[in-house]
Amino acid sequence: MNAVAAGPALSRFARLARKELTEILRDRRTVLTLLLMPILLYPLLSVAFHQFLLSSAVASQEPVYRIGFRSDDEMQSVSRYLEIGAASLQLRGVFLDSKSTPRPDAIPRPKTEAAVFEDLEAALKAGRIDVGIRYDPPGKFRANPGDDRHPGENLEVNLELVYRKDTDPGLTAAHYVERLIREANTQFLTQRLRSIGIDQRAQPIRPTLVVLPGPEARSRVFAVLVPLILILMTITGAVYPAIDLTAGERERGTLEVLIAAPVPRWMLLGAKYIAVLTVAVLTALVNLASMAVTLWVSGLGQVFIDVNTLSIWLLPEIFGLLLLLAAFYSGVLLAITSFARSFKEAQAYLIPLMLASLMPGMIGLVPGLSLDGPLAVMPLINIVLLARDLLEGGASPFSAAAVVLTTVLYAIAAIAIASRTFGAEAVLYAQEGGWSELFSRTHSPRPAATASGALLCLAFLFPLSLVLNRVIVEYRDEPVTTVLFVQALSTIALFGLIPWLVVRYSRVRPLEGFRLAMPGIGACCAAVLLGLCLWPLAYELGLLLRFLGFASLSQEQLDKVEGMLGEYRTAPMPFVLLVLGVLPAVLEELFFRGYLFSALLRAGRPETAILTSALLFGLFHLVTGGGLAVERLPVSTALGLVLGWLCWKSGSVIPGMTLHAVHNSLLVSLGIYQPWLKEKGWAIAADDSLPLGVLVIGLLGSSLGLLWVHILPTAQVMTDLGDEK
Amino acid sequence: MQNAVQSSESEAPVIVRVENLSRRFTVPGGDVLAVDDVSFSVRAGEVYGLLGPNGAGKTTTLRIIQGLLRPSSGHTFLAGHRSSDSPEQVKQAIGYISTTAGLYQHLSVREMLLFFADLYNVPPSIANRELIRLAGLLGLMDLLDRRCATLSTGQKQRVSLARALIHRPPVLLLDEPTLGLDIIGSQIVAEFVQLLRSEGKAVILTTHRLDEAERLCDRFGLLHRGRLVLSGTLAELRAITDCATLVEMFVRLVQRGPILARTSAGEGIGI
Repeated sequence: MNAVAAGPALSRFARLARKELTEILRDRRTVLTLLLMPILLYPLLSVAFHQFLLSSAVASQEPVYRIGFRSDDEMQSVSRYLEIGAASLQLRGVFLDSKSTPRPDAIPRPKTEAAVFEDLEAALKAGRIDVGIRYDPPGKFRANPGDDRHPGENLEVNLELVYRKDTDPGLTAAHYVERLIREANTQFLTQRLRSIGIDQRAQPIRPTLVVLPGPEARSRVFAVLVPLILILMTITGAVYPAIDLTAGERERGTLEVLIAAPVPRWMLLGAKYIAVLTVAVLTALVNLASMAVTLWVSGLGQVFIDVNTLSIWLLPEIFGLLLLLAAFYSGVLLAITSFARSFKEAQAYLIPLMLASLMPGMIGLVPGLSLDGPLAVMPLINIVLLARDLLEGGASPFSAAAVVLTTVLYAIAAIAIASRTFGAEAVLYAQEGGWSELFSRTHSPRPAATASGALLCLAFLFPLSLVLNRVIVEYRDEPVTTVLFVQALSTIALFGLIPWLVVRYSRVRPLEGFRLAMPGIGACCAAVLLGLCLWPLAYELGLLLRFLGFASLSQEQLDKVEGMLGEYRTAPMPFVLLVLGVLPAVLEELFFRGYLFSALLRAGRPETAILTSALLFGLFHLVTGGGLAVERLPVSTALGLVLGWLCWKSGSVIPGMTLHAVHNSLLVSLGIYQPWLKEKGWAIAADDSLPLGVLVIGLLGSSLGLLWVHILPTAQVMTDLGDEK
Repeated sequence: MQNAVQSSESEAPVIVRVENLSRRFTVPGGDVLAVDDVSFSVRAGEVYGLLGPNGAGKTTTLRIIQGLLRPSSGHTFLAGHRSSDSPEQVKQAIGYISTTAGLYQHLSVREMLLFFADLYNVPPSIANRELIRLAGLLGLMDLLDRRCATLSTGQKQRVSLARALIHRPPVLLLDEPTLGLDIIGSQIVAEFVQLLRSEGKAVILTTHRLDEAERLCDRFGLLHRGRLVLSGTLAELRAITDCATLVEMFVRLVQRGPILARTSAGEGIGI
């Protein structure tokens, strides 16, 4: 009960989620997929695998070749020769049981059984031998290695190896015999060369195979198989609860009373999401456990997994992937099943999804695909590629963060979609409402976007920003003005064009939706003051974070930034300031403090809206810009908090734009004029603190600015969003 | 009939006000006007019967009042809130009962009721107290920890009644509350409605069982093809239509619907 006082909304949400979970876990069908399926499935699979492996194990044992001769005499002379070949091969490590180190491609040593048949061909046809050996023309091999009784004499003899066309052991036996004879020939020639005083092998050049251990420490099969299995497991876990908690509500007749309750739709769907996610993760865990136990008990583990390469990190890694997949699927499944009016309908909708899911699973098999660019933001495909990279031991933190963030955003977007469709008229009263209503735009203009709409827009913007960043990288060899131009275009498209289109489409009144009100003069003055004075604090906070090791930009990346600054110095300064300072500031404010903030404000309290928009702002700066910059998260979030607060107090996005633009422009100028400043004795190198005077002025100015914002009267223009007439 | 006379004379505040409500549905082959310019109001402590044959627009009207359907035009006001402006407050003020509404099979009665208390923002401590009160009132004490799936139809119905009351709403909407119930079940509903009246709730009840309506309601609205063709207390309706019972009125209404509608339709008849 104490928790209620601490956070009524949160504890209410927790209770709602617990109810959904209770309901779904008490369902016998859930338990069936959750426990029974995996517990029965893997042992059964392992039995099948065992059969398969046993038969292939028989094949991998040493083969037995049956060799036929026409006479005892021939058998003895040839067999002796073959023995010599075999002994030589053994010395060279061709066989697995060699005393010396076996070659990387060593094979088990075949056994040979020799017998005499009068009619070799009949014996072959009857399948009594694999290969027949005969002299052609009939003759006798008179010499053996080590036997130098016939120096200078031609000892050539022809042998025929006869085998049946339609038998596999026939050809391999013939090849084997041929290999033995070749080896013995070499031995014999070496012997003869030595006997005439040439101390050299008959084979002047002898290649040796040397295999280096590859960079892929873990088995490739493992890296491809695991994501596929994880996908199947999370889907099986999530499908039933997703259907039951959405389409099931309608079938049981509880949907109407649920929708009639004054609870925000996103909260209902959020609670359902938690329940589906939990069941999906539980199912996957039970599956993993059952699989592990089966592998261990049946001994199949050693066949599939190279035990030596398993590290302790593997378990958390797989669990993380599983969580990611479950987070993604739970959202997507809920979004789809919310459309459905019955169990059957939901199942019909899900079949294409399941089939489509196997495709990304297969993508992992395609060699040479790397996790960057558009692939890094493709839903599901990016998770599969991340899984592959992780299991092969080569995932970069940047791509991992990008995948996690995009996936979380996709899940949020899916929940947003689900909360729009769940309980919509068309779903609730199929016979009455038309589907078109579900997709129709609202008829009356609105003062702000809905929170779900804004989050959907964000879920679209974030992956797009990653792709656009990638595009900018492609232009890095162009002249600096071109680079700046492309950068400007990308910023305009991302934070200007797309939000504008979305606002137009959803009939949000732009002036209110973007909070483009005329600000008071006080707010503007406070904004300019903060813009001028906040940067030393942001700079020092960045330094502190680097000092604490809370940083991920490598020296190489910092050098790259340094190099870019050098190039910017050659471009016209106003243009640089416009593209890097003013434009991003104005447009980012328009999106984060205008569009997103208004929507969040409509859905919740101002504190929540400020905090959420600041955090999203920080997260956006975490992975944009071509690298994972952990140190930018707290700095950008802190700046976002100040900007959000300013926006709420002033009721307008314009003071924030001013603050942001001044702040950005100052930092850009500092970077560009750094050498000049250094000459003047203002050392602002990467790891140096600012002069104490600057810091004190910054601190005083910022405090004054924040105090000013604090005493500003809170603008009422847009807080009463519900009272539109 | 005592009740009817009393409540129409009383000056209890108007809790529900429906103004010129219309709802159009697009169906293959054209538009259907399911609710056509309907207006009425219900005071606290009054039971308003919304009557009419199947497809007259009773349920659609209730759904619009609840905010489950958007009206094509017109407005509804509940406890001072306009539905289109503050849907959450309006939902908070309503308790909804329908025989088609199901229960959560896998939850116990207690869990189910507390869940709905949560949905309606009732703090847990108050919800627990209310739960005990309602359980005593509706004879659910022994059933509280039974799973809903194991309950009989009558027991389920009593749980539904408790569910609709757990957040102490000033307005109760009863959509065909006796559909499919036996005599005992119907009797419980009747007693329940009496209880609501005594607690000062504004009740809107839809039914096509006219004998039952005569017994339960203080005032009536007769819906026919989406239009509210008659409205008033039983005495008032008798005076207008020259019929003794609702059934007779209905038969005439359906047969001469259009004529009657033209001469005496609309709000205010007999009020």
